[in-house]
Amino acid sequence: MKQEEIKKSLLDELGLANLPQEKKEELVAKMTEVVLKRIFLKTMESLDEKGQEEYSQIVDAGSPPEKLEEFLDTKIKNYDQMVKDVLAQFREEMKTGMGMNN
Amino acid sequence: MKKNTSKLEEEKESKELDKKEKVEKEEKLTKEEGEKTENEKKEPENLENSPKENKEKIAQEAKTTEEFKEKPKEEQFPKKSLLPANKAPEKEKMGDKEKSLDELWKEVEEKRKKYLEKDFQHSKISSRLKSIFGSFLKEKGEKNQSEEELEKYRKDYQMALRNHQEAVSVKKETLSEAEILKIAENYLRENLTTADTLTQIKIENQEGKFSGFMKNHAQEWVEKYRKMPLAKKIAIGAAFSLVSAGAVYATPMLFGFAGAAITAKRVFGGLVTGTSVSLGFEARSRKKAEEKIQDKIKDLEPSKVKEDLKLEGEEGETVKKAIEMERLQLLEGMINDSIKKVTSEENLRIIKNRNSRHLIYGIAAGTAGAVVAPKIFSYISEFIHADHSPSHWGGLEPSESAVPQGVATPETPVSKVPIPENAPSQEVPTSEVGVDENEIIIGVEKGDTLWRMTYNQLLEKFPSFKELPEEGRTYFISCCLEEMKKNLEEFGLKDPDLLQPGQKINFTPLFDSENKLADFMEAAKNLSPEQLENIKEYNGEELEIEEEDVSEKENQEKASAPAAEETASPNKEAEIKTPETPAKSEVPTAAETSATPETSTAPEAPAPAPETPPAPETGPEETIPPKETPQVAPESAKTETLSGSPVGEPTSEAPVASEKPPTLEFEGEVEGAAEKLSQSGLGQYLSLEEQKSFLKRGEDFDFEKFAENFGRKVMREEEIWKVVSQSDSREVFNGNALEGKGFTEDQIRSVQKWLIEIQGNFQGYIEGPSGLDLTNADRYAPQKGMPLKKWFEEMLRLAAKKTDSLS
Repeated sequence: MKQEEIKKSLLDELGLANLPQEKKEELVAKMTEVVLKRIFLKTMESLDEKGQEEYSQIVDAGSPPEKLEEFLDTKIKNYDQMVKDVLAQFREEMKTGMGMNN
Repeated sequence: MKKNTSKLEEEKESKELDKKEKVEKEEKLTKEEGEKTENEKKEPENLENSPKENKEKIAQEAKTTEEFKEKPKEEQFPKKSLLPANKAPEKEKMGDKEKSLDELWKEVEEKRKKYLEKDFQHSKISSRLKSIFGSFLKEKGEKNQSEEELEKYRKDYQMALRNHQEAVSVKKETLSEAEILKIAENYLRENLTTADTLTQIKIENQEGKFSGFMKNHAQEWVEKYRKMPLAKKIAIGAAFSLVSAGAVYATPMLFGFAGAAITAKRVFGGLVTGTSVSLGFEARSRKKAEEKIQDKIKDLEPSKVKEDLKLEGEEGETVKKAIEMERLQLLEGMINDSIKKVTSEENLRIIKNRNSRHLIYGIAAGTAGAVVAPKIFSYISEFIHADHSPSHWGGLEPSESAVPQGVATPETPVSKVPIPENAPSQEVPTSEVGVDENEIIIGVEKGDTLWRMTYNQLLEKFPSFKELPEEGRTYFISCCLEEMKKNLEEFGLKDPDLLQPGQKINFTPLFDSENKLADFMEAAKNLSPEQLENIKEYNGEELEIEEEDVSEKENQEKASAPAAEETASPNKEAEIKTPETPAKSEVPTAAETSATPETSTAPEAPAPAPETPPAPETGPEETIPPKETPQVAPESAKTETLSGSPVGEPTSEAPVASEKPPTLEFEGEVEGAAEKLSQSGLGQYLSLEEQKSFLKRGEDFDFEKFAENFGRKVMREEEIWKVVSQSDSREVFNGNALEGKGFTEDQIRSVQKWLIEIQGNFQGYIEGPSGLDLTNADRYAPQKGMPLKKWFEEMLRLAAKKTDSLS
């Protein structure tokens, strides 16, 4: 097997691997929150008004996540790619902010 | 004439300048000595008398040492300098480093605050204006005042950040590692705050019919997220590849993103609909399209994968990449194997490997299993790191380890941390504990074990338990302990094996889980003959104790400690009598020895039934043996060393080497669940009990709990890896860690056990044929070029040597 690229976690990439564990966990939790918010925002932006209406109905009806998942897959083309882009952008943004892409 | 005059003036100016510089530099020197010279008094005069250009030049030179330093020496000291060349810069360096960086950072914070405030205001204003004027403003291309101001603030902020970055860059050579780390942390926090605020602003300024709905729900789920246990947050972060335990192998972006999208939808859906957060690893709700692909994949011959797997779009791309990775070789010969019946240790290994292999298909197909893909590789990686010290250090703490002893993750074997020696054993009479109607909180007394306490509580609070035969009780308790392990905190536990006198164990959640108890009971009542036989067999002798007698004895035992001491079973007493035989604690539980990713397949011999006669449990000279609790049942019953009473509380000294591999049977499983489990790739992460639960419950599997446990594991691994990476692996390798530093025999045995577990569990990886290129292992091996297999052998040899000498 070929030696594949080794990927570090974002914190490692940002040179923060040696932070105390609690701080790392705190930062990961915070990063995850921001990422989720962005995915949420992007998801909403990707839906047209009708889609948003359907979405709100699903949510209001307390439908299971699976239904929402199915809905998103149907309504948003390349949802996976969209998430991918959000994550990539976030990573780059963090790295840029750390002066790594300058 | 004019020229001459001018020339004279210039010369005069030049002389004055020289004089001025000389004076200034002398002044600096004399200042240092705390003396005043007349030159100081003359300085203003000189300045006043100097031409404007010279004054500015002098002032400029005096302004910053940096500039002064940067100037050519001739310029600094045009003729004769009384000042040592480095004197001034050195002086200015002193104590300036932190101060200036701190100041700059404060500036960054101030500017950021202003910018974000402005952005917020602007967004609000903009939103309001747009609501009134529609897109009129925008169409006209007018840039209102607010926008201009915002731009200004943004630039100010950026400038402040840049200034700080530059200052750091200039001074980085003189900064300590801790300072740099702190700065990096500040930067990340800064980034996150900014990113978060801006995102929030965008959310709050959404327009349109459903903007209110969006805002409300965004806020709602953010709050839900914030209330989540940290472990769950970490688990989600892990699925997003924001955190990992060690390196993640192989096309991480591919796996990470494939998983992230699914995770996002799951989390997103769970949060919004308020059902639950699951990482979506499961087959619970595989979509039809995915099932279709799965079916297709099932029929594929590995050798034909390339040709036959005609998947479109991302799935197809994923498959191609998987093939490129050459990991498909892992699939060879595995597709058609049945995983429903596993009867040997070797098969257990196979099933694990199969999980990995199927995972590739899972990823290729875009199934939910893809979510865990990064972790699969992470764990493989972790295992390779593990040559240093993975999460199985158990009782062995590297010197100066930051790994808190006694903190167990769900995956951490219960008996990892030895219970302090010399603690007198004493049964806690139930009457002594504080139990009220609503809460069942039991105080730990010396000599208590979780097993025994649970046993007593079940006897007291769960009447049906008494009706069970001994094997059934063993099974039942194992299930309970496994359940408790899933959420240690909830039960007031940190480490189930490291109970401290005075500690309060909260059994309430256990008895609140009526459905689970009912399930356990059902299963305990229906143990197969083979399971029963296994329990007996592993007990080392026929279990001839009459149920009633046992109950009676146990009730007596419960009633009072002395009584219990007298009536306790031989095995139990033997256990108490042999506290210094830590091998007992080294007996892995079924969960450890079978299908759990890290701890399975370690062959352990059943411990012989102790021959020692009954003895009082309490006594000042007695120690509390670390009691291995059968983690799961009925496998636990098969693999654990069972004592006669109470209900097979595991005892005995178990040789590390295995004589009888654990058997694994998935009975009563939901049809097709095994396939789902396999395809999901979950097998790597589920404990044996979880796997059983999965197979029995199928789509009802509790992924909520799993996600949380998963997160804990990640947290734990991060922590451990940090310690390991900081420790001197050579020292460990050389056996120093085993030889000295006050490690106890228990701890050494713990290492020994861990080594065997890992060796067994990951044999395929250690020896290389299963896929991982061992050249990668070199990266982490303590000795360059040493194969992991060799390393394990060497470590085991050292451990055996050490334990022999201690014995």
